[in-house]
Amino acid sequence: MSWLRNLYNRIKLEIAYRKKLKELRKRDPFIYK
Amino acid sequence: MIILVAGGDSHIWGSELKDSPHGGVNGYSRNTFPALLYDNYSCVAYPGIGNKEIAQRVINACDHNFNCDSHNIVIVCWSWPTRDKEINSDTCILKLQDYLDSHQIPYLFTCVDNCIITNNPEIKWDKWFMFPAGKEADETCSPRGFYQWTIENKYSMGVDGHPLEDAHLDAAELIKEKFNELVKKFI
Repeated sequence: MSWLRNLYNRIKLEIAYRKKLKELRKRDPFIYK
Repeated sequence: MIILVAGGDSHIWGSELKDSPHGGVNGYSRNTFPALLYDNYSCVAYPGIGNKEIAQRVINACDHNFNCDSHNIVIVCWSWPTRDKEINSDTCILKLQDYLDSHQIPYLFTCVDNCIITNNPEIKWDKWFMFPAGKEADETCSPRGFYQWTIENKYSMGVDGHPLEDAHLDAAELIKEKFNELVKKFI
């Protein structure tokens, strides 16, 4: 079952990364618009 | 001959400044804060580019100047890391830092937004100039990037949102001391 836990953790990290990227993009007013 | 090479995005190109007539060859402004620091000036910034391209353009310009028997000094205003779809720009900052150190080129880094700052110990933060932190509750309470500093100090902005001449003039005045300390003493 460890492969399932690893997969879950990788997906969780990827979602957190994308969320952070989306938040940071809002700081660039010249691209985000 | 010594040339000041400036890298960055639209802020260093000088978008919306009166003397930046177009986005084509040599259409950059001579009234941005790096241009006001040194007369023999070459701008390799361009509007909308990300930090990977900023680093590469500076390296290309330094190589070109070196081949023409000119010496370089460099100032870079890093843009938002998200333009390269990254949450930080450590890799390209380190790439340019290593290039400049290995070629013994004096340099000064700054940024448009302090979101680029990380706790990476390999980056030589003493070679950076940061604009002073805000004092009001609604201002950034840590040292700021150029864009944050201009917005929060309510400098005049162009219709597309770029800081105008007065902000660049004051920024050049603020950065002058660090520029002289890090860069001009090598001349």
